[in-house]
Amino acid sequence: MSKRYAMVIDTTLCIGCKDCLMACQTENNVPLPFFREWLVYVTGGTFPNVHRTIRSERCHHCDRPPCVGVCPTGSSHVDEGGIVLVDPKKCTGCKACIAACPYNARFVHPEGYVDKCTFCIHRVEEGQKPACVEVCPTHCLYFGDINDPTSEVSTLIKSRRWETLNPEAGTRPELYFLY
Amino acid sequence: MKRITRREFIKIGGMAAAGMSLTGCDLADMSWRVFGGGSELDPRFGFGGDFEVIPTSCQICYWGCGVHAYRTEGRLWKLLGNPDDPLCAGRLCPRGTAGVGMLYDEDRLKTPLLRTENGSSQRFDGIAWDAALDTAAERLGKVIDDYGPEGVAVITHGKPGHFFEHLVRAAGSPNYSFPSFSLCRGARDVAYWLTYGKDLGSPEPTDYENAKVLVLMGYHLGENMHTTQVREFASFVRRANEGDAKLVVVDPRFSIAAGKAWKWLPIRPVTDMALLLAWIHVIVHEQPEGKPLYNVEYIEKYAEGFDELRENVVPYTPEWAWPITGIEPGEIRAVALELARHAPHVLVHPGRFSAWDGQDTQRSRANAILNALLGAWGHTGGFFVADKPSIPGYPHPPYAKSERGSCDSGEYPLAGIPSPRNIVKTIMTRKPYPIKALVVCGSNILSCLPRTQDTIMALDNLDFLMVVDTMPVEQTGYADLVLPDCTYLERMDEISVKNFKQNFITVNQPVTDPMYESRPGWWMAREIGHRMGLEEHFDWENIEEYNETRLAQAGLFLKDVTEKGILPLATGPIFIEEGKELTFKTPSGKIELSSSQLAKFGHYPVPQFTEMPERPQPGYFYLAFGRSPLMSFSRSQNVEMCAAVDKGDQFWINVDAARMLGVHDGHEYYLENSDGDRTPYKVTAKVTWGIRPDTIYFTHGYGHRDKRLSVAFGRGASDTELISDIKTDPIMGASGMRGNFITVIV
Amino acid sequence: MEVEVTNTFHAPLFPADELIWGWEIPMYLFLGGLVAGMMILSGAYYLSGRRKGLPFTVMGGAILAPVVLSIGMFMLFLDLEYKVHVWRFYTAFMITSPMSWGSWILLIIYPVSVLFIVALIMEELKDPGSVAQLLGRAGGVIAKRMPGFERLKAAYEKIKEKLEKPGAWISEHIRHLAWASIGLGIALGAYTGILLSSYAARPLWNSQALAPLFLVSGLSSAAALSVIAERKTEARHEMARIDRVFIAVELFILSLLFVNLAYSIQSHQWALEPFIGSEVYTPLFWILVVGLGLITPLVLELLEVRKVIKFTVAVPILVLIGGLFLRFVFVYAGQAVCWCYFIFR
Repeated sequence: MSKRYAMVIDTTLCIGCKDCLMACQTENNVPLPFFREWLVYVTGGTFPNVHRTIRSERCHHCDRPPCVGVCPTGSSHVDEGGIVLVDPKKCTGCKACIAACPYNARFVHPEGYVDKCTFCIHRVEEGQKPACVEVCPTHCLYFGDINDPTSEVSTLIKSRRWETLNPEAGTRPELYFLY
Repeated sequence: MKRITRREFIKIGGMAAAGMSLTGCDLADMSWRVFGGGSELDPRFGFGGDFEVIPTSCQICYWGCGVHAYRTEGRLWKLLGNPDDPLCAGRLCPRGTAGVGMLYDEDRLKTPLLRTENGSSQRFDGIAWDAALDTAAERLGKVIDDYGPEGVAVITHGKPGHFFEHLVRAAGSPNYSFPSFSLCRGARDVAYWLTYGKDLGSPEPTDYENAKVLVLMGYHLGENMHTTQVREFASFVRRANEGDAKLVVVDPRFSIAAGKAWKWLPIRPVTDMALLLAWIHVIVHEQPEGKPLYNVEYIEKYAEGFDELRENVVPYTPEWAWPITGIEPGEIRAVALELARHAPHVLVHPGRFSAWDGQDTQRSRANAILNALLGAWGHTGGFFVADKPSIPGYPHPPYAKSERGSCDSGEYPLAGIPSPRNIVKTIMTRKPYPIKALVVCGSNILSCLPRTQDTIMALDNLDFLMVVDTMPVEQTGYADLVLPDCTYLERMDEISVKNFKQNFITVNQPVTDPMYESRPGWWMAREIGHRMGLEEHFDWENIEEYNETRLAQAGLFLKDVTEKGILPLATGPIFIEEGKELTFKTPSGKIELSSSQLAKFGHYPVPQFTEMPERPQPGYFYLAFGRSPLMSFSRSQNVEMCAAVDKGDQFWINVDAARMLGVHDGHEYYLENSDGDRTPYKVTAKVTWGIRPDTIYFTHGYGHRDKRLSVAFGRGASDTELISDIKTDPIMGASGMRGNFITVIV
Repeated sequence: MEVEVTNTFHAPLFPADELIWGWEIPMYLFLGGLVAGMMILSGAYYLSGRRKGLPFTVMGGAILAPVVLSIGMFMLFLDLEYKVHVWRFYTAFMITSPMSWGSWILLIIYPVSVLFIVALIMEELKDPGSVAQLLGRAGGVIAKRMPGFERLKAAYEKIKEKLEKPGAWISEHIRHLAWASIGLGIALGAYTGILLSSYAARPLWNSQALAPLFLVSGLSSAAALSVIAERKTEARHEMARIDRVFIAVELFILSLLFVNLAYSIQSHQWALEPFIGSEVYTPLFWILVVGLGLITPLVLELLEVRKVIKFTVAVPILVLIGGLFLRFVFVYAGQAVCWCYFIFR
């Protein structure tokens, strides 16, 4: 079976330190003020019965990516392992993909093309993990081939309760959040 | 030379950023953009293709994690953790990862600056290094001539401050200080030294990775971000998720750690002493399961003073603690029972920042005693006991003994050094003698010392203030001489000998040449030392030679360390389970539940609850402060990468309290303390249920007033500016900073 | 629920303070709708034999269509972030992308409309109406002012014979060209709505009612333009009459759209918020778009027909403004209502 890369994020271990954001910035030279990832902190309840969830989010590299469907030039495409990429050579900066993404994962790079998380494909091709996964101090990010039943990510989603974000959007995202 | 009577705050004029050249309008670049595509800085398109990895160590905070610095085309690309480092195990914290931003910060100090008078105004002149070093030597020498060697003081923190400490001590002054002692963990360290004969130091010898129960008191793991501790915390939380461990968080605020806890006890601020005493009471006196809760064999074997302790804690019942702390007796007993059930593999964390309320040593003593009763010291899941590796210091000639002693000698015999606050007080009052010259390196005294106004006034009394720093923080505006330090990425410093379950040596190495005119601190200290006639104390040519000489005493070479950045050393057993024999360097040779040394100096040998902490008046709140994982002290606020996503500058206020005052989420307000000191800028409010209604919290390190810090300027508030009421610990002089109340100006 | 997100780009926008598309897109949508309406009206009225009766609508509309469309396309070009790559639109046809469909439709419109214009001019010259005079005068001006006109005329004389056959072909197929003009006009008018409705992530846009809404709005704007530009009173009345129909249909579609959203799934219900609770969009929409842009013109036109009040040019101008702001409100408000912002509920 062909590879399908996915990421599993264990929110119980996430401390919201934003190390993943910093690692992605430096690894990929993402120009400020843009970030390819972001953190969402949700605090619920009332004092003193309060609870908190933290999610480390980025492009979900969906199985049915609407951003690829709406791209008029073919710049937004699906690469190896289901990684959704932008080919800057073809991007006109029309921003249709930004409008199409339900997760607001994309932004316009100052050089004119649209940018977003690439699952560090340049690292994955060398057999390494994305920068965010490699830096997380609590080891709460996992990356691997979800079509491989022996991979870490497969084992985790089989053994733990997981959710994807806005599954009703129909995009079949490949970021699995463990709670 | 005309004496400057009024120390004007000078804004250093904007110096054009000489940094990196831009390839903006390059024709080649444009045509590449037309026919090619993608940023040339994007690794997908070749950037980082040929790179070198330089093992070094981080110095943004004082943990000193091992770093792998990736350099490509002469430029620092990224910083990753050194996988061989026992501290970070290959993963840095966010500000360590963002250290690239610190290196390439365009607001950095670029040349030495000398304050000169120009008629009636004062300004900074950029001067050459030779002139700067000559000036430093001359002015320091003059103060020594006029006022004696004790007239020179130094406040430093970390590297390369040690060399300035060495310079000042070599000149004969005993007045050296670092903020971390009396402003941070000193009380805790003294308390543990009194109890176990060993101060905790840094990194703390904790093993909660294997703990069954972990109690955090006023300690926000996860926001206080030392990599090792977070890594162990994550292991702990994994086991807690599987039901194999329990986390208890005692904090007025719903911290990140509290979000993962079995129990969050939202204690009234500064009343932790009562809670600790209540726990000790329960563990010593109550037997809900028909047997003692404390570890009987452990106490019999290792401790003394138990009877005195038992008698002393009789009144401190959970019912007594309830109205003081706001925590119900049932909860107090539940936690105590859980700790006792799983002892000795439990830990009541000693915390780190302990300068709270003037009872700090005694409160930390209570913590140390509680851990002893549970048997945590020496057992897995508690504290490990490691013998420090024996790498001698550099063999320099002994320092001349000071006749007059340090500026606060006698006052705190249990403290080893004067506190920075006392140095400032001496500068201000000239008692017991005048201090007329101050060297500051690696510390921002206007941010870390409470009563900022006092510090500023004191600086006026100095003949010579020399500040060594990388960034133009506000204190540089008051200096006579500003020396631009290069960042840790551009220099090598003295080797570090450390232990975290494993002894090792580490050192940092330069990744790039010093930018602009910045130079390493060791070079500055050496040059000044030579000019002051202290050659014999600086008998080495450069830092490499210094380190080689030091290592040679242990039969090691510098290249052993620089090769991988980490050199592991032999380590014996650290746990009783591994066969470690516990010894205690106390007068009795045992764990002193009742401290004979405290008794000797007229303090309570067993902790007592002596005074009810003050409560805020209506409309006022306890001022609580802490850390953000993206911010180190007041250092990182100008790193754009970190500042862009950190919300630590916001102040937390409870929803009900906000409603009562009319405070709205996301709006900005001034904060003011009960003495009328107000923040210079408005601070954004974060209205949340995750904090007690009587408490306001924000992160330390913000509130920068210096416009030269283009990213940090104008954001947030400085907690120390709002701290006017300092509660000094009578045992070791810690400056307790949790005694202030503030209000929100709506 | 307290929700905090790290960067402003992902923070809730209401009204949108960080837009994906700015003023260029609503301007283009308006101009595109206008062109679509003009092409449809031009083709339809030509086919019903009203070339002489409605000179502006048939001929003026056909001639203006590519001109105004070029202005609209220039707006699109301004919106692009990587302008040097604009030619990439035409090195691919992505069947799943309405934007790709649109860029090719825009391209095809040019040759078709130019051919239709040529055919109309040829017919006008053979069988002159009121436009023939204008064309004659324009030709005279060009002959006098344009440098090199003599050379152009000489060159034309040379190839005149060769042009006769294609010219005849064009004249023969003028009815087909008119149908093509109508078809492309519908495609242009509808695709703008389809394009927006393809973004499931933006619930306000994600409604099938948007395509007919924008199409009818475009027709209404074109009819309003005709009301202003037609000289003869009967022509103006004709256009006003048909404009009323379009406005009524537009109001009908809008009402159904809102009812649909209100009783649809949660995300669609949230999509109604800009129209009820926003400080900016709510007044803008109800007063400017509906009040001044739809209801007022409708009422005034009815009064004009009953001859209660005199004809004013204010009415069609209101319609045009209403059409323009309809696009602005939908484009801007649509961006403020995004799936990912629903976590802040």
